Amino acid sequence: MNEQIQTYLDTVCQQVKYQEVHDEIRRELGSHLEEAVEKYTSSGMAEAAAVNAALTDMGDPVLVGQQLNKTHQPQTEWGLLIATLLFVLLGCWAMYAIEVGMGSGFRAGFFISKMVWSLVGLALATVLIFVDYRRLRRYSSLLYAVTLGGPAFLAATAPTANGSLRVISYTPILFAVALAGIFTDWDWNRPHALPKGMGLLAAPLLLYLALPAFMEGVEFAAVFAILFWRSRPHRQQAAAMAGVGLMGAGIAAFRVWNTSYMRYRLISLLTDPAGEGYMTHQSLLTLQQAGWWGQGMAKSLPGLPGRQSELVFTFLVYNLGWIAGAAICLLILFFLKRLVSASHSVRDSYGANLVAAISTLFAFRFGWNLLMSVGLLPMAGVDLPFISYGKQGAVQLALVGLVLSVFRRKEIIRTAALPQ
Amino acid sequence: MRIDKELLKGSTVILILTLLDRRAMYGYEMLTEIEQASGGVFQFKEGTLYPILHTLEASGFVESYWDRTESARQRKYYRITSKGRGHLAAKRSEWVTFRSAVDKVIGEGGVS
Repeated sequence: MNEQIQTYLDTVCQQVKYQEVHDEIRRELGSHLEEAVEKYTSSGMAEAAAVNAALTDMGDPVLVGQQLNKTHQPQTEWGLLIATLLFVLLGCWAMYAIEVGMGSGFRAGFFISKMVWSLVGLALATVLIFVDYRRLRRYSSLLYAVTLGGPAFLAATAPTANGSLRVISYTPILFAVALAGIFTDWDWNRPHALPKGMGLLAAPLLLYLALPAFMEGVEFAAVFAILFWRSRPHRQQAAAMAGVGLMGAGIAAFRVWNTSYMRYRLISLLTDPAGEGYMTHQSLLTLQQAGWWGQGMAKSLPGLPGRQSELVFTFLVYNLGWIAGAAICLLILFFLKRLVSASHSVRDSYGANLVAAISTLFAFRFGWNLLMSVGLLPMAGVDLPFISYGKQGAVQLALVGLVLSVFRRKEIIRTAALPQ
Repeated sequence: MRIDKELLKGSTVILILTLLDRRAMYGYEMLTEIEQASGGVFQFKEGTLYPILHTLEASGFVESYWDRTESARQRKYYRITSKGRGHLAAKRSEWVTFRSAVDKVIGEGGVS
């Protein structure tokens, strides 16, 4: 392309801070300028004069660039960011309060560990926000294969449940990211689309049933369902997939019923003996005793199991009161709502899928944890995101970073592919 | 006759959306159409068109896609969305109200 035109485009792009959009701007304006030059030369003008005329018609490159810069501002979802930070603070405070109440001089290490993992998570999130999330897409199939093969291999070769179980709790997240990519541009009209789809669903379900890891299986199924629905399958295909899902659910239900402690948990949810219903019973009792403004930090509640993990919400409500509990619930609802509403303006289908999958993960965990704290769902070892003790919080923060990365670029990325 | 920039600024969106309502176009094409359709009255600095198009796209009123011509030139086309059609309808009625109000005031006891 003509050197003068190149210089013009360079000047325009210099004004646009957002680098990733430079290529597109050059193509669009360049194409326009070429056409304008052609029009002038075809009416008899010399090339050099034509270029000058075309550039003059276009206008001051600095001005054009400045105006373009204004329309291509990466956006930060402040609501999500602030909500997440508040969750982290709540989590750290909860661990602090537990240790103060225990009076152990922080020997249990909850507070330190929580702080460390929160910082790790925040660091990961910060890195991910500025990474172009689209780079992940090409690893989708590989990620799926590794997430399926790794735990399967571990489970087959190391028969003790503990080792592979810890890895298993991360698999829904990995599957979610992998499937988001696999289902982008998935064409249900291709040959063998349905068997492939059924395989994608069935293989992890078999893994989860075999281990067993029921909650992870349910989480996986939820994410799969959302991404599947978004990929717009035909009704018969949807029915077939639902069939697979129901089979899996049936087998799972059968196994749950045959596992005594799980059966007890389900039954006690309805009849409330002091047996396996102990955790639910304790949680409800503690919540009742909280009062409007809480019982204060000094009570560490040794009688409340899982107060740093599954029942951290109950612990917080006991310390801070029902009003605070309601406020936390509202914050959680706000977080989830922001995730969903911001996702509507994501133009890129991969980005939208990622956000949908991650939103499902969060909705599932927040929802189950809160409902089980108030006895509406059976206890199932689901921790409260960001707030509960453990390494999962760091991974969850990283996921928020990924989501924010998608949202930063949401107005800018187009779905229509660029010709190569 | 040179049109005051301020007057033009307010109506560019409605001009662009009206064109795109008829068919999808690329930037250069839109400028030519506007000039022709307005009988030569509207000739604005071409560079200002693209920030407006990008803003319209960011607001969801139009969407863009790349296409190739027979001579292998790449062109970025814009087409109006249903949200854009709604916005156009709103802008149109706004314009009609504005225009008749101005006409009324000018017509009654205006200068000349």
